[in-house]
Amino acid sequence: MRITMSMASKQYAKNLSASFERYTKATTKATTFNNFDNATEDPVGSMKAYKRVLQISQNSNYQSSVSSLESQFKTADSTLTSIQTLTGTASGTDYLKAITGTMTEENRGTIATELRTLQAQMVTAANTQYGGSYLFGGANTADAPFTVGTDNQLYYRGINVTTGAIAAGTTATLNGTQITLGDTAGTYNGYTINIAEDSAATSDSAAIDDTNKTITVTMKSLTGKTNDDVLTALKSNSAFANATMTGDTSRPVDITATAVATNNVGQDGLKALADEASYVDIGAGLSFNADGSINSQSVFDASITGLSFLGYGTTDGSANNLYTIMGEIADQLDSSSYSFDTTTALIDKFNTQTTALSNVITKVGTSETYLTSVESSLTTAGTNLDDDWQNIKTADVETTYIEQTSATLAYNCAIKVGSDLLSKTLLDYMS
Amino acid sequence: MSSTFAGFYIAKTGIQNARANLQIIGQNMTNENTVGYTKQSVDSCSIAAGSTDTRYASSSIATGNGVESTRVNQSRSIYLDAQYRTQNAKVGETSVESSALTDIDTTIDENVNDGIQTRLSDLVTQLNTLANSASSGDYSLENVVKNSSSYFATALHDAATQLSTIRSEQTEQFQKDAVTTANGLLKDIASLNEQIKTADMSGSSSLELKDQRNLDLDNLSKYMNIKVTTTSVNVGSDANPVNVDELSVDLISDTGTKTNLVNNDSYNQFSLLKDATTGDVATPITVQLKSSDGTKIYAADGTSSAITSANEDTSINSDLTTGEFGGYLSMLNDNGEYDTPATQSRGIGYYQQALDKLASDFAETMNTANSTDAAGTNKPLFTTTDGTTTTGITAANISISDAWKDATTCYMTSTKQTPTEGSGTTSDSSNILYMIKQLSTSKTYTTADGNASSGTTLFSTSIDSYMSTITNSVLAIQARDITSQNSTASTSLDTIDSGRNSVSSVDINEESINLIKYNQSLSASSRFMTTMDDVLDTIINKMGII
Repeated sequence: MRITMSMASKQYAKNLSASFERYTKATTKATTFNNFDNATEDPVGSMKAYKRVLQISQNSNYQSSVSSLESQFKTADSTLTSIQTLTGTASGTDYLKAITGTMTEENRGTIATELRTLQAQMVTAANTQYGGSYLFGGANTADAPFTVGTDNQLYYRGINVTTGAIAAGTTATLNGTQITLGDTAGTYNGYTINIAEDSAATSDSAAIDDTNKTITVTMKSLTGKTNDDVLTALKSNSAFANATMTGDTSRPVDITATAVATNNVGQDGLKALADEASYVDIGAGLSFNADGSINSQSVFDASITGLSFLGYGTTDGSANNLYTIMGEIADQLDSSSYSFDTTTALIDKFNTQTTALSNVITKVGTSETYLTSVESSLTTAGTNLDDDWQNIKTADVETTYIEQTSATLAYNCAIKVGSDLLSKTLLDYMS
Repeated sequence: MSSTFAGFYIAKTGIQNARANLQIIGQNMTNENTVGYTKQSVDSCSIAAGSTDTRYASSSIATGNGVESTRVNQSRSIYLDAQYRTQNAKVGETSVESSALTDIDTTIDENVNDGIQTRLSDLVTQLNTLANSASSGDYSLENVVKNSSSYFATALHDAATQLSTIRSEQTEQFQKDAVTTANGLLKDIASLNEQIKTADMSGSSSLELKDQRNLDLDNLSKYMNIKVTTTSVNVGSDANPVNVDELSVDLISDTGTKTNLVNNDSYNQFSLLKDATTGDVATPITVQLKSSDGTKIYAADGTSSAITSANEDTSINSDLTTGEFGGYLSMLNDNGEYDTPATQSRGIGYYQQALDKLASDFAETMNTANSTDAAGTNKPLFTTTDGTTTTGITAANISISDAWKDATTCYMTSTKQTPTEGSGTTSDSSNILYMIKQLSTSKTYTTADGNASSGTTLFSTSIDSYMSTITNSVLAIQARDITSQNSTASTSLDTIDSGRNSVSSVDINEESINLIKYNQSLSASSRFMTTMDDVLDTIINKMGII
C-alpha cells in the first residue's frame, strides 16, 4: 500500500486526538473519582446506582420513622410507668390499703382528697405529649385525648369512657366527615341522614321527617359541591343551627352516602376506640388487603390508646376505668353513707384494672425492644447500601491513578512520536 | 534514416516532457494539503519512428522521435469513492442520532444532576412524613407535600421543555444546515457538471473542477445514500463524434429505489413541508423534492423515479433511510413502540411520550388513590394546567389541581376507613401509605391509555423506578448501540479514506524523487540538444575542411 505523508499526518492527527481524549477522560476521572458520569458509559452500573439511591432514600425514611417511634415509645414507657406509680401510690399503704371500716370521716376525707389529686395527675399523665403529639390518643394524637367534663366524667376524645355517650351530642359519620347535629338533648338520635339532589329546589335545604326518622339534605345541584356545602345546607334548618363538621370537609358530596346519627357509641364503640391502630411503615413490606385496608402484619402499630390501660365501659353496671373507680372510691369516702364493703369492692376492681396497665407497659416495652432491633437492622442495611453505592459509583483510587498516569504517558509519547514522524522528508536532504 | 535535424525534435520533446512533469510536480506539491485535491501525473508515450520525417527519408534504421506528453491524469478510484460515500452516509446518520441521544441523556440522566427521580424521591419522603404525622389534619405537612408535588411537576415540565427544545434544535439543524447545505451541493454539482462538460468539449483541463465536484459529492454523501453515474454522450455529429461525460446523482433507498437528484446541469432541491397555518416546519417532518426550475429530471439509466408535477410534493421520507437526513428523520419522526406499527428507532418523540406516560400514570395513580368515589375521579390532586381536567395529562401540562392548590385545609384523603362516631378527626394515614405503596408497585406499561393491554408493551417497572428504567434500560442501551455503530462506521470510513488517500494523495517524498528525476531528465535532454548542436556544427562547418 502506498503511504503518503498526508495519510501519515492525517492518521497521526486522529490518533493524537484519541490519545488526548483518553488522557482528558482519565484526568477527569482522577479529579471526580466518578466511575461514570452518565448512564451511557455504564448502563448496568447506572441502573444499580439508581436502585441504591432509591433504597437509601427508603431506608432513610424508615430509619427516620423508627427513630421517632423509638423516642415516642420510650416516653410512653416512662409515662406509663409513672401512671403505674400513681396507681401503686393509690393502692399503697398511705391510701387504699389504709382504708378500714373504722376510719373517721376526717381520715376518709383526707384520703378522698388525695385520691382526687391522684385522679388529676393521672389525667395529666395520660395527656402527655411527645414531639407535639399526644402519646395516648390512639389514632388522634393531635388533641389531648382525655378531658374531664363538667359532670366530672372522664371523656376520651369526646366520648364518655364509661357510658360511651358522645359529649358533643348526636353525631353521624358521613362521607368521610363527622357531623355533630348540635342537638344537646339527643333529639335526633337514631335519625338517618340522606342527601338528595333536586334541581327544581330554590336553594339547598335540610328537612326532618320525624315519622320515618330521617333528615334529608337537599342540594339544588351537586356540581362542585363538597361536604362543607352539606353542612351549610344542614344549618339552614334552624334545628341544626349549631351543627358542626370535622374530617374531610373538602370531599365532594356523595349522594349515595347515608348514615344513622347516634349520641352513644356503646360498649362496642368504646372497644373499637381502645383497639384503634395507627400504622407506620418501617420497611416490613407494606401491603394492603383486597378491601383496601392495610395488612396489619406489614406495618408497625404505633397506637397506644389511653382506653387500653385506663379501662373503659362497664361490667355488671360498674365502671371499668381507673379514673372513674378512683372517683367512686373518693365519693364513697366522702359520702355520709360510707360503706366499707362497697369501697372494698371498688378497691378490688381498681387493683384488677391495674393489671391492664401492666399489660400495656409490657407491650410497650416489647415494642421498644423490637424498634431498637429494627433500627439496628436498618442502620446496618443503610451502611451497606451506602458502601455498595460508593463501590458502584466511586472509582478505585489506585486503579484511577494508574489509568491517569498511563494515559498521560501515552499522550506524551504520542506527541513525541509526532514530532519525529512529521519533521523529515526527502526535501530536507536535497541540496 | 532520420533527417539531419531530427535530433533537435527529440531533444525538444524531452525538454517539454520534463518541464510538463516538473510543473505537475509543482502543482502536486503546492496542493499537498488542499482538501479534495487529487494527485496529478503526466501521461507520456514515446513517439514511434516513421512519422512525419519518413516522407523525406527512408532507411532501414528507424529510431523513435522522442516523447509525447499526451495528457494530465488524476489518480483516483471510482470504486473507493462509491464505498466512501456509502459509508459516509452511515457515519452521518449515526452522528446525528448520537448527538440527539446525548442531548436527551443530558436532559433526563440523573447520575450527576438532580431531576425527576430526585423530586419524586423527595415527594415520597414528604408523603412518609405526612403519613407519620400526629394528625391527618396537619395542613402544614400536607402543604409540604403539595409543594414537593409542585416541584415534581416542575421537574417534568423542565424535562418536557428541554425535549421540545432538542426537537426544535434538531428540526432547525435539519432545515437550516442539512437541507440548505445539501441543496447548495446539488446546485454546485449541477453547475460543475456544466462547466466540466464545456471544458471537456473544448479540450481544456477540467481536473480541478472534477476535484471540486468529487469533494461536493463526498460532502453530499454525508446527508444521504447517493449513487453517482457517468454517461458518455456524443456532442459532435455522427460523422465526427465528440464524446464527453455527463454525470447524474441518484438518491438510493434501502430497498434500492432510485430518485434522481442531479442530471448533468439540472438538479432538484429538498424542502421540508411547512405547516399551512404557522408557517413552521410541519410535524412529523415531511421531506419533499422539487425541481429547481420546473424542469423535471430523469435518471440517466431510466430506472429512477422521475420527479413530475404530480409527485413533486409527495414525501420522500421512505427513501431517506440513511445519512444525516435519515438520522434527523429517525430522531424527529420515529417513536419506537409508540408508532403503529412499532418502529425500531426510538426518536425524541418516544422519550417525550414516555415522559408523558409517567406524568399521566402518576397523576392517575394519585388521583385514584385520593378519590372517594367509585369512578376514582372526584378529588383530583393533579390535572392539566387548567386546574380541573384530569384527562390528557402530559409532562408539559401536569399541574396541581385548583381544588388542591386553593385548599387552605387538608385536601388529601388520608384515610378511607370510617372512624367511630364522635371520636373526632383521626390521624389514620392509611391512604397516604397506600399512595406510597402505589408509587413503588411494579406494573406493565403499554402505549395505550391507562396501560391497556391493547397497546404495545413498553416495560414493567414502578413509578418510583420509571426514570431509572427509561434512562438505563432504554436510553443508555440505545445510545451505546448508536455510539458503537458510529464508531464502527467511522473506523470503516477511515479505512476506506486511507485507501483513497493511498491512491489519490500527494506524497512529498515521492514528488521530491520526481523532482530530481525530471530535473535530470531536463538536463539530459538539454545536453542531448547541445551535443546535437556540436554534431551539426561538425557536419556543416567542419566537414570536408582540411
